[in-house]
Amino acid sequence: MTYQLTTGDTIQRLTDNAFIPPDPANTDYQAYLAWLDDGNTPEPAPTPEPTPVLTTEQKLEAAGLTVAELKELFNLT
Amino acid sequence: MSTLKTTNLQHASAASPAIVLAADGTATAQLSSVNDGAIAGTRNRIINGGMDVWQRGTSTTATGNTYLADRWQSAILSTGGTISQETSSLPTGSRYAWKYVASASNTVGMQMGQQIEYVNCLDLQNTTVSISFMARSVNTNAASTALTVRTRTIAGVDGACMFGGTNSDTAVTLTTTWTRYTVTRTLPATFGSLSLEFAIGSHVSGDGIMLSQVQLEPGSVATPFERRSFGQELALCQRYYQKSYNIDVAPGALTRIGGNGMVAHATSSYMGFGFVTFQSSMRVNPTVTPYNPDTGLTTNPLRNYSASTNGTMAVANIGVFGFSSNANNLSISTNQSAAYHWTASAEL
Repeated sequence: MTYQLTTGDTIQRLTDNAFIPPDPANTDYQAYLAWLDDGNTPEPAPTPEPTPVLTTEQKLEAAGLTVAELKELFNLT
Repeated sequence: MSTLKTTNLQHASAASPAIVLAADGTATAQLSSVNDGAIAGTRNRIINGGMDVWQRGTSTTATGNTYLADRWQSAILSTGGTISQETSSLPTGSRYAWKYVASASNTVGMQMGQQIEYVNCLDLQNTTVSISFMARSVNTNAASTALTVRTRTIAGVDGACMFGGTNSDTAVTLTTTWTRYTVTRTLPATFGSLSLEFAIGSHVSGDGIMLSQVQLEPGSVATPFERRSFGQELALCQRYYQKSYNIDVAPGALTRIGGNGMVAHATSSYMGFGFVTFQSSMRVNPTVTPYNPDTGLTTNPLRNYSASTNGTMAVANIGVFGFSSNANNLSISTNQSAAYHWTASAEL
């Protein structure tokens, strides 16, 4: 059994990819705590992906606009 | 046969009759208890005793501690065996039964059972209970017919009682015919956890048992199996296990029906978020496992319907009423939609 920390509050059990909440009454969390007591260490949380730098075109696409629509909006024909 | 004709039955010290007989042949009775338990309703402390609910699937060869029929945990203590939903050989009044058949020699044994949540059995401390069930063996071998009916208790509330607590055993001899068996015992004066278990010892390939209509109730007299509606039984099971799939669809099936969606924020972070509300409150904050609707796998469980790709995701903020999920820009981008299935387990 191996575990991995997440960027949130849960622990991921890598044998079945289940997410375990830090609830002392959860039997899977109890098993995780026992695993820690045995001297084991979970894998670190995955590194968050860097925020991508968007191009102007991508920003327009995110807003659901096209260059033509933008030009029309500002009367830039 | 003689007939006692009277109007009332009343204790000498009582202020009113316990039973009032009417002229039309009916009676009104002041009952304080039936068999030292509830007068009616929820006498059976076992959930899914009729083996009606199978949210996890209908067959497994898994060893170790495994759930298949809801609330029933089994342990094939050696390799080789199948636990399945029996649909042909059934006791009268049952749609399904729980079945175990060994596919290899097993020198250690097989056990199955159900741990009862403390809030549902604390009143049974230091009381006599009746355990009744329908059972049969799958063949006439001695190993198949020698069934042990076992209760276990430990002091800790909702602790690891199943297959590990202090046991009290009763031997029952099965036949290949469905038969109702009854075991009565007095439970310890105090306990925090209680489980009911069934076990067979060392056996060979082809040996096995079937069970259904399992009941554990207060009192020294076993009453007829308490039938609850399917909706009631399912709701009781969902306190311990829920899923996004339809009830008769096993987790990991390739289906998009019921999958929970995730949408991306229209921002530069490209992050996707989703939220799930459970059908009902769960026992504790449950363990959540996401599944990919198109691959059925728990690896890369987020299916991006827009890009036809599979990606990672995370589950967070899990509570008894729901949880949230998120995915990064490698799994979902702006204006894309994605989905995943999930199971949530809060078993004891």
